[in-house]
Amino acid sequence: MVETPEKLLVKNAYEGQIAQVRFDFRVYQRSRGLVGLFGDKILQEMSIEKTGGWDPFTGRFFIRETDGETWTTARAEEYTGKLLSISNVSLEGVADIEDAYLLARAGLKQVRLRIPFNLLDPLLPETRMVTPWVRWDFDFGAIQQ
Amino acid sequence: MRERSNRGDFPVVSLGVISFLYLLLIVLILIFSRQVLQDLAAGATLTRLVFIPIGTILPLFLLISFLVQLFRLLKEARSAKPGSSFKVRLTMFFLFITLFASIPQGVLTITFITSALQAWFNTEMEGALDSGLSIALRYNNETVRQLESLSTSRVLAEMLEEGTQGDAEAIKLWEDLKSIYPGVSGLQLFDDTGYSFGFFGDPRTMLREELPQGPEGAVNRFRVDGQTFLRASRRFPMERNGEPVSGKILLSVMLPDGFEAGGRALTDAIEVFGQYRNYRSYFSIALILLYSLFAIPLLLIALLVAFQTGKEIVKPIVHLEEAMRRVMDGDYSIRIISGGSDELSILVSSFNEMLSELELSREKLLQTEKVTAWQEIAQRMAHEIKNPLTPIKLSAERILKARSGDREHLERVVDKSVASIVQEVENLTSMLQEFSEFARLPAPRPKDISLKTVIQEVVAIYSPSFPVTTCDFSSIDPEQNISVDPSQIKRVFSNLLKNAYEAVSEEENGHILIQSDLVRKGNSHYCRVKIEDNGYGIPEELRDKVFQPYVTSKKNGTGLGLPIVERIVADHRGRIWFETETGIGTTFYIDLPAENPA
Repeated sequence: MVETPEKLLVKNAYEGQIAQVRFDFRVYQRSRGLVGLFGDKILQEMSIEKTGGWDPFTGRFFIRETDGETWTTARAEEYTGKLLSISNVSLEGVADIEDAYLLARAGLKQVRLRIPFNLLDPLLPETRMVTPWVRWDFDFGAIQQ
Repeated sequence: MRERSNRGDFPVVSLGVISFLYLLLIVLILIFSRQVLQDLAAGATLTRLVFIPIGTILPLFLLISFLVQLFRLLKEARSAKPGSSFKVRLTMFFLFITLFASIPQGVLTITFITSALQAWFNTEMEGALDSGLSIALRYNNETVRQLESLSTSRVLAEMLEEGTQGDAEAIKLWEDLKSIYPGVSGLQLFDDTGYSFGFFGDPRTMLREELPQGPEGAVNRFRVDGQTFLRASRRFPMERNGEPVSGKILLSVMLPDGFEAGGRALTDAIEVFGQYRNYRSYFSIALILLYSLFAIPLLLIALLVAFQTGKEIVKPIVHLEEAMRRVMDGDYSIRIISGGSDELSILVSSFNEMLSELELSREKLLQTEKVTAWQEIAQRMAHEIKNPLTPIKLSAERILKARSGDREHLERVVDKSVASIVQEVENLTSMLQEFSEFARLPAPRPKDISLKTVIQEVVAIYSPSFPVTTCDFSSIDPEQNISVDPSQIKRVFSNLLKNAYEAVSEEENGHILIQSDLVRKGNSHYCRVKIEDNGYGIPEELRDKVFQPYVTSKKNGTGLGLPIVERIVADHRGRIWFETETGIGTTFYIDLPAENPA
């Protein structure tokens, strides 16, 4: 029986394991001419990391973000929904740049391995997954017109 | 002698730099092991940019270098190159020592770690952790439940009706509350606007910010100064300007010191324990891989050091062997360059000094031999020239004497004497021609030719003159080549075969057998040609000087044939000798280079 990532996340949380989600964002500017042969120019890079688990003392799921802010819920669906999504991310200073585009990807470690078990990371590919980079062209010129 | 630089050699400096960098990396990893493990866990840039490249590229580079060196060593060993067996033994020794040291250490380390983990993470420990967490949770839940019950109880409602009428009543409320629930840590009273008009208990529980919203009896947790508290609220009726409104109280309960930290420690321990339980089968593999990541490159470095050390040790020995071989071939000008000051370098220096002295002695000896030889040649030449002069003089005297006689007698004497003079002069001319050729033999210009073809051509010249004699050279390999000057070597075989044919010409079953074989001297290959006849053999008194000029047993021989043969063979860096027995026959052996030295 194949379990969905959401169910596995909840099951692992109840077993006392911490999950880790990481969202990577990169803003590039297309290079033209000969410079383009060496690849596009990277303008901004940002990563957001969340860890989530179950607190048996409060009886609630918790999600801790990069800045230390903690969010809790008693409902499993809310927990997985919040952990596996991201909102209100702002990338400043790129709106007026022509030919800018965004690459984004998400990575999930269903179980964040503790030291020294993190050595097993390369041997346990099933505990982590990373999406391919997804591209989104801003096309700010078209928006302004 | 200069060492040729071989492609694929691993320079000592490069090997030293790589070894140093790798050892430095290991030391740094050991010093900052905790940080490294954390970075590995976080998948940080350090891991991606430093550990993965170094952990893969460096061992790969070392492995390729090792395989190249191993391939070359095996190739050298297969071709029996001097020093290769020593290098193989040295490499095997290093391999054995390294494996002998690293394998037990690795096995012990991994066994110890896995045993220690098994000892720590056992079933009893898991049970104890679960029980500890269960007790902590039970206490926590009981405290929460009590606070919930108190905050929603009728008793508290009745107490609030009286206790919110004034300050004295409020104090009484706090006292009564403590008497029915001694665990309460704080009581705070708020009016309908959220203004706090009364507080009792631990000041840390006093709410200074906005009044939290939420249902009655709902228990929240909060931390102040590292201490964890539970808090619940309850509404109560009160009046403002004669109008009924709702006030609010907050009840706080302090959890015991260290309860929160202890609880976190328990959940952390359960988290680690769960990871060990789920992944322990992979852990030994990970440890072996981690150990190999350090051990295998070190093993490869040790083996590369062995290769290099072997080469350094063997180099002077190989040079000595090569120099000895060149000396054996007659080249005394060779010298070995030695830059070191170790025992082998001293040996090389001594060898060079010995060669210098040997070369000097040889030059003196050659000079002396040359003078002696020329003296002997001059004496023999004078003797040989004197021999025809006597009949010439006698013939001339006979002619003078015949002048006084009749004309017919004179004509007869003149004819006979002039014929004798012409014959003697021709002999003299022939002898001088051969001597001239002996003295002016040009340097050989070797090229690869078929031995059998040369023999065949020479036999074809002499066999018609000796129809009774058989000559067998069928066993010579047609593919066998010799690297010689064709015209000079033809002269060698011509002289030797002529001697052989003449030696057996008077025998009834005259037979000549020519055979060849391949022999090795040092690193050079020679073709050994054997020419055997069943003639009368070389007279005993001539055996020691057959290669000297003007020594011959033949009536019309010049005595220069065999000296020319010896000279040509020597000029080809070859060798000639013979075995003979009176009445049985003579066998000549010639070693000629079988391959082009260029």
